[in-house]
Amino acid sequence: MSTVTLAAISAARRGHALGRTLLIAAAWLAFALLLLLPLYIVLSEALKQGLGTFFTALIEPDALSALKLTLIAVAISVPLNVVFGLAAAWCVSKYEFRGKSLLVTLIDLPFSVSPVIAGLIYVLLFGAQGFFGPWLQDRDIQIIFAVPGIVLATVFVTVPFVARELIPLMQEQGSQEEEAARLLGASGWQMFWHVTLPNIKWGLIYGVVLCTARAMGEFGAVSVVSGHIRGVTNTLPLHVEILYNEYNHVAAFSVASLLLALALCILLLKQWSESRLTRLKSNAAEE
Amino acid sequence: MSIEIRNVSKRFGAFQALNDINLDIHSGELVALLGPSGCGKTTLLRIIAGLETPDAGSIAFHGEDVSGHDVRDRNVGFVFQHYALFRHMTVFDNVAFGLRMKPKAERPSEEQIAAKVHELLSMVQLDWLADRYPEQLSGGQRQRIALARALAVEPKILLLDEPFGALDAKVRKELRRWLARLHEEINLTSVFVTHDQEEAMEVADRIVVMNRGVIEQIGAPGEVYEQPASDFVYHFLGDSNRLHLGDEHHILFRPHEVSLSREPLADHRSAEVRDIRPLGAITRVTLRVDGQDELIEAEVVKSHASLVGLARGERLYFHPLPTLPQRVAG
Amino acid sequence: MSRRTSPVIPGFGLTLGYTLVYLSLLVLIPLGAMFAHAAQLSWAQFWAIVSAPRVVAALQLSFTTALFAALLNGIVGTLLAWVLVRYRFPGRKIIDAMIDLPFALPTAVAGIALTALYAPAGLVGQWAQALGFKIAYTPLGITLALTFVTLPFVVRTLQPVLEDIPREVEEAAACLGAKPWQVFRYVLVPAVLPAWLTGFALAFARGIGEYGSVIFIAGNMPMKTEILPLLIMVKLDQYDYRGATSIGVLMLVVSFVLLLLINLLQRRIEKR
Repeated sequence: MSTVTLAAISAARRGHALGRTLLIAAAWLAFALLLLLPLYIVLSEALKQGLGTFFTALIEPDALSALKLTLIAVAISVPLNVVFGLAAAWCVSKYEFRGKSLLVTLIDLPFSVSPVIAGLIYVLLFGAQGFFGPWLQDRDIQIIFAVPGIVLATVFVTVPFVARELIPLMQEQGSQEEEAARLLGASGWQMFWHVTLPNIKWGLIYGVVLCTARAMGEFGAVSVVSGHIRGVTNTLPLHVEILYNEYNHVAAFSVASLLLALALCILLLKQWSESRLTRLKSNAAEE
Repeated sequence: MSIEIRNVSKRFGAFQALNDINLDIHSGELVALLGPSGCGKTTLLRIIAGLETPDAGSIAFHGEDVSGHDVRDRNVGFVFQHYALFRHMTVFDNVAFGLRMKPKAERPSEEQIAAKVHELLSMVQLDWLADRYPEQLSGGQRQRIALARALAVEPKILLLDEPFGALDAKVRKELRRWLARLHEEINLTSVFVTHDQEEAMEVADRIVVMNRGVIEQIGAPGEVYEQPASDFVYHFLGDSNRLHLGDEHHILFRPHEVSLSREPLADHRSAEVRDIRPLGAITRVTLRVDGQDELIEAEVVKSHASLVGLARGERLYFHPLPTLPQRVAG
Repeated sequence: MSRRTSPVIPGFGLTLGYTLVYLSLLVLIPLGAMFAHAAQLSWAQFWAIVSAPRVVAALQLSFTTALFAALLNGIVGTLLAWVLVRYRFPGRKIIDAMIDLPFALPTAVAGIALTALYAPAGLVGQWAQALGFKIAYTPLGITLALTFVTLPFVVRTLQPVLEDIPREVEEAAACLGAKPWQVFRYVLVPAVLPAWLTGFALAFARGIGEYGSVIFIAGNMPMKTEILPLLIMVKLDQYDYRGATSIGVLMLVVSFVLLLLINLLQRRIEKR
């Protein structure tokens, strides 16, 4: 290489160093303004009147019943979507069949549907004027403006999370270990428990974490089917909305900071399972 | 245990992977399925194992038709090309897997399993790796662990898919000698798939040469090399030269089937020396014959008289000494 | 060879059957029911609903705010992705982990936090007030809220693509005499454009449907700051199921088109 090009490259390097510093500074600024500031606001508003008011807002009965309902929604929707995710990922990654890519698109569908529509469709099915409305009314079964509706809406918006994480992972891992297990005498279930499940463990955990986050925080879909009955059909996010609309800002932000803390836990869990997953992948790539 | 393959066919969509295959593998034999990629050799191996169902035909082990048997009941050891070791299990657990999966009544106790696993690990000379994970092993070590895992359930038949394909040249040579010895020691019927003719020649008792879903020739290594049944087998089992004789006729001969001379001799053709490569005991000379673009490679012992002081661009006279009869170009 | 279907791996019928039944019961039939509901309307009725001035205004607002938010993310997201992939600096890991906060944080929490921030008396809002403009309760506030909730899309789609471009390619281009902008224009842009467009489209699609983070900051004035999803809520509260369904169908068709577009883009990425 001639000295001229060497000089050009080192000049470019110096230019790069300045550009680098500017870019990093810009990234930090964007990060602080867009992400940190809202975090700070939640905490400062919540603690505006001291820790006492903060905790009072968290342990009042309506907040506790909202927490309970949120946990119920999570406890039902996450296991359902784990089983679904496993089944969907199994048939998509282990077999070839017609219409497979259409199926994958359909699995992703709830992601591209507005949460309000997710609520609306269940109102149209089970609401008083819906398809099954009269039938349900005759039998005195309430779905909309009741807990089942909230659970249904939550399940809908979280359908793709586990499947989406597992499908690419299982496709990448292939089926040879499963075949080896069968050749060594394992039954279908033994193969699944001893070989498949341990291999996809981190992807599964990652999917569960994302699914839990969404189930916990879903607002739009749940808002449509809830009816906002205090202490009965309020989840935590809906409770935040009610408090906020009643100008009880400190209480609203107190409950919000609880959700924020949960979100930060989710991020930590996510980071952790993700790092295990990338380690797994990089090991697989070395083979 | 012998394997009888009768009229087996298999297609994948529009691709005919196997077309009416008939093959008998005798008890205790070590057979190589040799052919280029896509010739159907791996599919045949997977069908023998029960990993693939043939569209037509049957597989029998020692006279008993196993076509309808589940993979678990065939009692076949299988070593995958990339080993398919269970990545989340230690070497010990990998080898113990087959024993632990046995139904309760047949399952040995944990002490018996441990004893058996250590016996197998010392057989493959890797006892000291029992607590490692597959990702911590080298390619050659993984290969031997895969073998130990397959042998743990004491199969009567051992199937290996490109067993040395993913290894580097030196390890590969060591391992294939070791495998041949191992096969002698334990009484097994073994079939392995390979695309490497040298590997097949060195290890196998018999070679099955396959191409485009059919068997081209079955025979001992010497047989398929010396008496190839077709041009395909001839080309596939070693380097070859083609010399045109005019009138659409040509002859095929191997680089060593040649007589070389510095002086013009009767029947010898004149050629220009393009390249001289000393390859240890032999030397390879690349020749260009007048009237044909295809170059000719000749291999002679390094002390051959014609090589003394030979330089590129000089003239040499050669005469092919083929084992094959003259052919008409087709 | 492992891509083939092997008969020894059981469970095809069971898993495919379960997947189809589950999807049908929870997703396909309910969505179909909405279309069936809408089909009770004549074209003229449907058109009358979706072309009403209030709906058109909401549609315009949702589209423009989602578009600007996606554009803003296209810029800020590219910056963040680039910096996170290319440079090692203090706090990089924290930023990388926190990028996903908008996905983990309930949208209602984001909504009230941003409102508190941008309201005229808020931390940022008072500065804007001093400069003579408002953020909260205007389309600008909606755009900022959408920017927050869709921030991860562009960053997370760009990151893997940027990581896959070896630095040698840029250096090789530089050695061949390319100027930095030429490297950018002819080497980087073509390589990341499909991923960028995917991230943009994902952010845009999410922006149109977003509800929770927007309703607090929007002010929800009909014809001015009322977004499309909110209009569905309003119609539902008035027991106007026809209106709600028609708008729902309209939104769903829009998101299907976007989904199709995203799939096509992703196929182009995978092909390379």
